[in-house]
Amino acid sequence: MIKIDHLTFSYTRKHEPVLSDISLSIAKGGVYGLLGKNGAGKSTLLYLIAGLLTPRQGKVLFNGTDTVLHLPSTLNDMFLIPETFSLPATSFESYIKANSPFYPRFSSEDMRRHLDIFGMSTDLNLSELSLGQKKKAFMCFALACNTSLLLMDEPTNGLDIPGKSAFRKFIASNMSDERSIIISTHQVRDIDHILDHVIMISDNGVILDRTVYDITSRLSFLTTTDKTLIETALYAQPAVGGTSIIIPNDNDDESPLNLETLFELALSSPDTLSDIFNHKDNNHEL
Amino acid sequence: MNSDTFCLSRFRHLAVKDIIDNKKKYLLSAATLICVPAIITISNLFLNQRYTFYDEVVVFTMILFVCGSIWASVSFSDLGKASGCIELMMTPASMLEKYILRWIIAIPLFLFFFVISALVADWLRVELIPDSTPGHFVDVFLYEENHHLLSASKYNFFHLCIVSMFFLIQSLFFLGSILWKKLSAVKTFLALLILYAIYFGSGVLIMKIFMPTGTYTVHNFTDSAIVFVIIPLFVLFIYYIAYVRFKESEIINRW
Repeated sequence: MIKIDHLTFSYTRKHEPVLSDISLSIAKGGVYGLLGKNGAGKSTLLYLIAGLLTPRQGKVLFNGTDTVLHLPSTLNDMFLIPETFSLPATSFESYIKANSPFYPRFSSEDMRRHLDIFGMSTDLNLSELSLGQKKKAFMCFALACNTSLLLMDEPTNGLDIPGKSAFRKFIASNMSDERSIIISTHQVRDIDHILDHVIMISDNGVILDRTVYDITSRLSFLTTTDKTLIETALYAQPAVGGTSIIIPNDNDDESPLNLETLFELALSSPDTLSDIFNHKDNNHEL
Repeated sequence: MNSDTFCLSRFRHLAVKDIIDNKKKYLLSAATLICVPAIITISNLFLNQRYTFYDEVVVFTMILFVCGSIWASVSFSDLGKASGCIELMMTPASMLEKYILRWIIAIPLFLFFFVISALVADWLRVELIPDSTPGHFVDVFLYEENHHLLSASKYNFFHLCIVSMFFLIQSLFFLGSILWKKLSAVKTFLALLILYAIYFGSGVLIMKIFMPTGTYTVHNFTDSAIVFVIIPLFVLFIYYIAYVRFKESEIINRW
């Protein structure tokens, strides 16, 4: 669906590139988490995928078309929810009436269902809503457009606790094989249970690009007080009830993904992570 | 032309969306444009009881240039904020459709509201000063008796020059609104001032170098060519440059 080919981008010619020689593929169907430190280039990558920025080198192809061309046939199959956005000072119904004709697969029924999840209705005046409410309304509209690609930049910023829980339910209930969602965030705890695929980027480029199944089949994420395990763990950090560790999953055990510790491991020992996945890949080929 | 370049139904949806999103802004702008000449006319009527239609035309011409330039300079003001830029660029319409819509708002729609404002102001002149000259509501296109503004009569060549210059200047401010998303009117004005100073200064310098003494004459044979050919072609070229620059828009400003 999306092919990112040797992408390099910098905001000005004088500055170092924010993204350097990045290559990725995003397949149809799945929730992708795009993680990284502040300034790593997460939002920049999202905007490059949406065609809002022009790369210095390389291309982003969406279904074979360069996104920089801003073709309507590309734009009506993708939707971007940026971190900061503006909605016109009109009623929500007017907003839907004005924007839905651009998206051929827009569904009013889906719209109502999404609003129910957030406990909202279409009888709203957008100018009277708080930031969190606007975000919920915008997300409901975005998903009701039924585009193949949904890009979300820090979607849980501004949402209250029930809103974050509703967001997870919202995403999980709207996943299909025909749609991909890419979520860029540093609030990993808000999304770790809904991801299918994890992409981590840093100043050095892509440091991890794996499915959650791949990750949890190679690594175990535990909270333990066992000192031997802690000492031999790939990564360990204090946690409530013990120490959160990451150890190689040699016994094919199942454990829930802990994105926070995985993120810390990826940043502190990227070579370790790379060795684990390459070693397992080589064993699999043999 | 394939549907990714231009589609009439999609253009219609774009226009409807633009009206719904910006109706308050457009109503306020139109009201301001209609009120400004009316207020200026009423002020002049109280200050100068001999205020005539011909004085009015001078005032209207100045308002046409100033308001037309400002109106054109805000055509792409929403590109100045990241949120507005994202909204504009992510709307599933072609860049050509988005450009044409902005052009229609900047030029034909402005002229429509300006004509209404001129008619309102002239009606006020007739109603408030009955012995004003002429003492009746004047066809805005009829400048002198028996000479219609749109005729090719030589008596109206000067007026056509004004119209030609208006389109030239407004197109430059339209281009400026894409080049500079913030403070576009000021930056465009300064750029034009600098360009004119360079043009004038280099002309004087060349004359001093090649003709330090003696006199020279300038032939007028190109006047009609300038007004009817060169300026219109240059205006179309400016619109084309503006479109090319708009097509390359990003959410950041690299200039």
